[in-house]
Amino acid sequence: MAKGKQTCKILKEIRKQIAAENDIKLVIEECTYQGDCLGTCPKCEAEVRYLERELEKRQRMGKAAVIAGMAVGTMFAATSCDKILPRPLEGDVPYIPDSIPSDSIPDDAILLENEVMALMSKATEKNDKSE
Amino acid sequence: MTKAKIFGVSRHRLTVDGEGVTTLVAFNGCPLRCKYCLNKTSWDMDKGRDYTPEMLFEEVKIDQLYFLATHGGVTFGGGEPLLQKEFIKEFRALCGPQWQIVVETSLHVPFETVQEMNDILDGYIVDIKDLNLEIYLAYTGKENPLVLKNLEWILQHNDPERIKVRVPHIPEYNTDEDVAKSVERLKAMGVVDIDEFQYIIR
Repeated sequence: MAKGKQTCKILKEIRKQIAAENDIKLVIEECTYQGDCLGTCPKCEAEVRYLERELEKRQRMGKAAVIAGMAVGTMFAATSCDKILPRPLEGDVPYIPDSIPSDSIPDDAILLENEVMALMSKATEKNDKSE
Repeated sequence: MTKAKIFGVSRHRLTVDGEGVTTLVAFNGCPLRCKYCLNKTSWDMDKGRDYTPEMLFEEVKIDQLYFLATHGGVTFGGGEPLLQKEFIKEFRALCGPQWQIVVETSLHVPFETVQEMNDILDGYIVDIKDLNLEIYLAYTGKENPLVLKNLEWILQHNDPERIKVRVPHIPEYNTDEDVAKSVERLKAMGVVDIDEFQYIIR
C-alpha cells in the first residue's frame, strides 16, 4: 500500500476511535481516489474539524471528552497496514528509498529544498480547489 | 520577538519521531557538516522561512486532536534544533504540557543548553553518528567529547526510555565492528533504546 494511503487509513482509524469513545456519529465514506495521496485531504480535514466541534459541544454540556490513549502502533495491525518505515529527520543519508518530510508534500517535490514551502502552498491551493 | 528559520514542516508522521502522530519541524542551522547530510539546505541560513513560535503554533495546531489522542506532538529537527532554544521554550508555553515535544539532535550544543532545555522536552532522538572520536571528526568535521558529556547528562536526568540513540553504519567511515563498539559503549552508559541502521548512498 502506498505511504499516503497507509497514513490516511491510520488517521481514519484514529478519528473513528475518537468518535466511538465519545458517542459521536461519524460516517466515513470509503475513499475512491485511486492514486496515492498526502495522507490527508480536505474531506479528511473536515472530519477532524467536525470531531473538534462535537467534542467542544460535549464539553460545554459538561460531558467529559475522551481523546487520549490511542496507540498508533496497534493501529498498524488493526488496519492491516505495514509499519511506515522511519525516515531520518536530520543529517545524513536515508536508509530507505525515500526522503524526509514528504507526508504533506507532493511526490514531485524536491524535499526540503527551498522550493518546498512554495510547493506546499500549491498543494494546499490544489486541495482547496478540488474540494 | 523570537524568530527562527524553518525549512520544512511535515505533518502526520506516524510513530517515527516519537510516540503517536507527530509533526516534524525542521530548523535551519547546524554545527556539523556531515558528509552524507541529506538536508544540506539546513546549512544555509538564507533559505527557509522566518517563523515566530506563534506562527508555527497556529500552523501545526491543526493536528492537535491527533496529538492529544495518540500522545503525539511536535518533533523539532533540522539542522540542529537545540540551537533554537528560545524558540522551543516559547513554543512550549503556547502549546502547553500535553503535546509531546521531542528533539532530533546531534547533542553537539553547549552543555548549558542541554541543561536549560531538559525540562521543556519530552524526549530525545540522538543522532550519535559514531562514538569513536576519529570517525566522528572525519564524518562531521567536529569532535565529540561534548556530545558524550551531554548524552551522559541527559541519561542521568531522564528516564532512559525517553532517549532513543540512533547509530548508523556509515559507508566509508565506520565498519560493523566500529558500530558494535559504539553500541556496546552506549549500553554501558545506560542507553536502552538504540536504533542501529544502515545509511544507503543513492
